[in-house]
Amino acid sequence: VKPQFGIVMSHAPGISQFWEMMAPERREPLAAAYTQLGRELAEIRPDVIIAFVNDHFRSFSLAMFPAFCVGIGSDHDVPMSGGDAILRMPQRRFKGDPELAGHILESLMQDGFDPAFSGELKFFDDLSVPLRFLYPPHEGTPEVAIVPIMTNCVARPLPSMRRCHEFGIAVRRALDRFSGAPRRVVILGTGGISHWVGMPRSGDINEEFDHKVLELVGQGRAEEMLSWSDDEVEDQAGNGALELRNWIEAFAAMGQYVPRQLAYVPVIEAITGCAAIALDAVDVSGTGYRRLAEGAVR
Amino acid sequence: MQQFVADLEAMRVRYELNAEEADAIARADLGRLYELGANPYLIRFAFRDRYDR
Repeated sequence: VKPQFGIVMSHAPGISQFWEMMAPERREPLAAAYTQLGRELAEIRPDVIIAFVNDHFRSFSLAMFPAFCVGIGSDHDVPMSGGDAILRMPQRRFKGDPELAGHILESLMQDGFDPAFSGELKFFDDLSVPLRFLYPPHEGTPEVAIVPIMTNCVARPLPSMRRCHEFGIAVRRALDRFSGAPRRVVILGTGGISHWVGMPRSGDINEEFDHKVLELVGQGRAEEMLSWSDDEVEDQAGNGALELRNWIEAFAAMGQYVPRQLAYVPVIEAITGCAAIALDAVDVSGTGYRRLAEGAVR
Repeated sequence: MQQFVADLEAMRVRYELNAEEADAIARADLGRLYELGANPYLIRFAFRDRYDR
């Protein structure tokens, strides 16, 4: 199977918590982007979303924190119990895809990665916030299955950006190797861009850094981020920007794509530079429904 | 965090905190906790009420 579409977008509790009280000049551009992405997903009708997300000490702790973890569960509560009240959204039970998740896990191991796996991952804003806006709760729970893949972005030492890029390529290879029933696959990467979580600079947003990231992505030069050190990223854009690993993995898992930036808003209510970018696949043969948009192709 | 509030001394012993670390928790001195090396996500998690007001 090949990814037919991709999305990278920010997550932060405040995007959902404070959505209704967010200033219109910040909420409306984001709402338009989310609506657009939701429309495109409705058109594609994916069977499964491979979601590159990261734990925030809900599934793991300093007692045990894997670099990578594949969610193999048959279903996923989004958000986790208790998260619904904090994030101000109803909990929904999304289907998993244990067959595809198990295949990805085995393929990754074949390729030299040894990720953890879990059937009981707990999702907070990392997956819940994007799904709230891509599949609004008032429309019910969609049929789409979720295969979550978590990367450690919060408890150092973290897998390097380059390792995450290679990991994403390995996920792409796993999809290429899958011999089960055909599935329409969408790739999702969430997190970033600049924000400081639990740090003295909490509340800051570095728009200059965010625009630099968006420019690299838009110009098909996202791989330039692979050389950035964690200290450098954290210093400029906060520990929350280390979640760009999820974007890096999504880009690599997509293979060739055309990035289409739909929104960037420095959302002070969510203390995060929030972006939403569509990734149009360019190597889907025979389907013909994704037009090749103008822009950089990587 | 509730356990820390209920019995700081027991938590100090359990997690082998030094006096400065225990004091920073007791005073909810988030900046000092960060300087002392606490994972900022855990600071955010433990003192969520301060951030979400």
